[in-house]
Amino acid sequence: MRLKANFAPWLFLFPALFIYLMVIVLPSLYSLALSFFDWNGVSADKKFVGLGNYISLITEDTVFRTALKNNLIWLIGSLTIMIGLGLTFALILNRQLKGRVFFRSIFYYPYVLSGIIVAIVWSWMYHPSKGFVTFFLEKIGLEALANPWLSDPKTALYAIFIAGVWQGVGLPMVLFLAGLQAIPRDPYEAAIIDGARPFQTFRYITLPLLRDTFVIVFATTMVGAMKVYDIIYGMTGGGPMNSTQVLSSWMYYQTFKYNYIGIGSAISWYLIVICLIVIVPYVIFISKRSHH
Amino acid sequence: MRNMRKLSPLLLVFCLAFLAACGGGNNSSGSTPSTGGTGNNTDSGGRLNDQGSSSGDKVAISFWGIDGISSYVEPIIKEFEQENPDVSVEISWFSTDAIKESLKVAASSRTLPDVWFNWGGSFASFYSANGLAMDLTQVATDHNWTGIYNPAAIELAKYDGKIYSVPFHLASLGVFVKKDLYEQYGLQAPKTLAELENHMAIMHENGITPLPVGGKYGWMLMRWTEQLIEHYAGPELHDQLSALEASWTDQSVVKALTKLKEWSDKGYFPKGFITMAPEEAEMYMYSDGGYALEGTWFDQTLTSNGYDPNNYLFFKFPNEQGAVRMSSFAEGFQINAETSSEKQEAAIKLAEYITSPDVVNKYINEYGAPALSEFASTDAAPHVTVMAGEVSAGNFLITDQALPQEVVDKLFEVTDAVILNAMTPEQAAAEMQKAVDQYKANNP
Amino acid sequence: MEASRKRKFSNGLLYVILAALAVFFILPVVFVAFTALKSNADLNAHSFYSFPQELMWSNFADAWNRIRKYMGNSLFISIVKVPLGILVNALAAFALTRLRFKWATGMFVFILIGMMVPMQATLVPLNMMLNAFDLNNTYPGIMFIYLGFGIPFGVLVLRGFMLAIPKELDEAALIDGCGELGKFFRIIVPIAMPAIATLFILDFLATWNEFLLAQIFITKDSMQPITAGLLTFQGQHSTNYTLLNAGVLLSILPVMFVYVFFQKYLISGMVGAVKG
Repeated sequence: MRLKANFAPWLFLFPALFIYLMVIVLPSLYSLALSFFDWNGVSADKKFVGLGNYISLITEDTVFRTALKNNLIWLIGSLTIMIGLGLTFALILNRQLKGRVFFRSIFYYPYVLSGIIVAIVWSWMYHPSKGFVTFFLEKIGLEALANPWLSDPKTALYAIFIAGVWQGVGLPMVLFLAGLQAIPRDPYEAAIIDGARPFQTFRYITLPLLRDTFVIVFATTMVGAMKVYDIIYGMTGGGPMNSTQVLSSWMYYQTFKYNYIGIGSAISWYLIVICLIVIVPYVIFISKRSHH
Repeated sequence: MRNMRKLSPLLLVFCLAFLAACGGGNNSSGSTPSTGGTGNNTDSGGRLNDQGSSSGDKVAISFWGIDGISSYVEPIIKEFEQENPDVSVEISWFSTDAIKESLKVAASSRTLPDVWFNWGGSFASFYSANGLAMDLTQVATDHNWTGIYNPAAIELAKYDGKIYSVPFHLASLGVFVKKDLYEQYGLQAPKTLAELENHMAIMHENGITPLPVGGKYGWMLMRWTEQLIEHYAGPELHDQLSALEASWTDQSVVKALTKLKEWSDKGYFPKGFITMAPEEAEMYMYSDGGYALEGTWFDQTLTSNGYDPNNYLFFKFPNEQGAVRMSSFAEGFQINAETSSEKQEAAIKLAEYITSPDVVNKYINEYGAPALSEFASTDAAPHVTVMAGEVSAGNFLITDQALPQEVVDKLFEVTDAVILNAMTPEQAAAEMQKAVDQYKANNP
Repeated sequence: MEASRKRKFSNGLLYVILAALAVFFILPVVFVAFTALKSNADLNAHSFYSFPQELMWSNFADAWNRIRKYMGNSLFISIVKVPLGILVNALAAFALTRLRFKWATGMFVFILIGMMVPMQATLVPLNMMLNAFDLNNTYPGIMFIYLGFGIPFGVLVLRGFMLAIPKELDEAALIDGCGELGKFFRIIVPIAMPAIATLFILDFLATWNEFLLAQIFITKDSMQPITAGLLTFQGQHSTNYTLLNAGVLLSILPVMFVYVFFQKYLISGMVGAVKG
């Protein structure tokens, strides 16, 4: 009996664990090993450089720094705007509004499209002469704003981000809706009897009970922001002047275009480690608090 | 503790299994003993079929090509299989970006196909330099390639003096413009740069975008940049620049970038063109007019978009230098250097078949610009023969294949910067040279 | 009276805002439809948001002919892989939540980390692995890889929901004499149905839209999925935008169908997951 109890978890875990180890863990470790070398992937010329790649990325590679900055901008934007909007939509559409299912579908719908398609669709929206955004801004008298946003290094990333929000807000919205529906009515009723105002109930009841939801939303949003690629590459190709490069696209260039496998792997591991440092403590912290 | 003890043997088993499999894959049994002596013990081709024993049974080879050629190459390959029943070909089609990536991944994991489509220059050299593509110089001599293929194509198939591809297409680039537009303004094909600029001014005055160029991904704008460099630097210096033997801080580079900026400031490019997709920019050309610096494939592009190639006038970019060289490149088929000599033989046979005169002429309407020295002309693609004749007079390898890829991307970056006023042309030239030096340091 | 009029006004205002937002969200897709119905000449000559001069329904027929086989492949891959993935993930989540397991949280974090690994970093070792087992260009091969990448998110969601299921049910099962496996299939899985349906939708979508791995690991044209298929509209020198847009609209039909079909589960399905 005893033996069986200890074996059981491993048996149930086995299929997932095996596949996970083979597909994700071992290849990642291989990539980690590669990041310590100067190699093009094929020649016999393979030189161990220790942390050399990691250091040269920070000290010499201007595009890497730009990419890192862009990912951080995207991350901050996602954590605030995308999550904020998702939460707002969820709060609105959680009420007993007529047609709320219809609206939920509309806001979730863009999430179904792939990044490449979103890139084409929104490049066309922003097109300086044939795009709807340009047309609309001119029509409402804001011609001054009707610039080719995508070709200005100062505005390109933000313009792409708007498209990113359009595509991505559906997921946090749906997650928050679920979280909200799991909250029982009692605390609210008690609070209203006590005379609490809407903002107070939101702050002291809703938010704390959404803590678990925030974990999932936070984790998926952060990972998504660090890995973002298709939509940016599709809309500007990393330009103008490499100003919209991100870690994923720069890693692609280094590995597959320039044949610097070590550098490409180092970029990957920067990405992974940044996510790790932020997400893991947060998840563990929340797990401890929620499950007393 | 107890769980830990149970865990470690499990993990050990996984690792051992994985490593064993890895090791096994590299020395896979079943590779035929080499008869040619070109060092090939890795079995990379026969994934799904029999390896083919040395007694003359069916040889299975794998072929990778791009989607754009599939409409005619696929039937050609089927015909090849009929004529050569002892060879079977497994075909894979890729989009343009996908094939580059897949080839790199396959190279690193030693799973390259037996024959693959590739461009030239720094795209192909990776495979040639690292012993992945087969040296075909002897084959070229034995099979009399100089009598079959255009000498320009054979040159472009070389790396380090040796031939590494079977020539497939010989592409060259020139300027196309709508005939009726030129007739409307009473213009003739320009012979000098100044004349071309006059024509551009006329178009611009009449509300047409003279240079409907999309800068996204850099290559479309580069076609104009490189011709300006040819104009200001002359053929010899231009070649040295491309070979990284001359400094990019040269005045000719500065002048070329300055000229581009001048055109941009005059409004000759579409608004916001720097990140506009090439196909989107070309819409202006189709609907209103303007110049297209395009290549031998352009006739087909026009046709597939519903336009008549015969309505377009072609002329070489008037760089006013010597033979007025065209930008050019070759597409070809590379053969896997590490597969069995049987498969190599079959692969070479296939590649030569696809590019042989009879086959080419049969499919000439869709084939594009063959690398042959002689081929039939077709009304469907009237400019191909014209351009093939011109390219032999003089050509240089297109910049995004002549330079190493990271230097190419730097060129794109600094060109953008100059146009956007983020850098002066002098600074841009200096940055280019820095990138060249960096490349040389990383690749001694 | 004042309060209800106020509520009516605030509701009305809400509808206006929602309607405006809905327009913002739907407009780009409307333009996709316009483009899909245009001819090339029309597209070249006019703005991207103009109504088609002539409705080219034939674009849909042409696009369909080209992507038909790719959609079939995608359908096959998704229909096999998604349920299989759910089974694998559910078994793992069950182990992490319903069985006495000291390493549950640690193992969960270990698995969660996998979400952060960029796919590009794994391409070469995975290619070597597939080749070693002769699984290149096979459906089992690519599905194995897809399963791997789906595990972190799948376990995250299912574990969350299973944590919310009351422990009393487990005890009832024990009294009934079910073994662990019986408990899994007869008690937990039925109750976790909403979460499973949710994961079905999201995983189906992710598998359907996946293109990086498919591009590298499926090279045989006859096996390629819809994501590669749509790329055939983008040539080396030109892109057929009208057919591409038509193809896109066709290609999202199965995903839409799955979404609509499982809609009612979607909201309630995520309920338990977020408690995790």
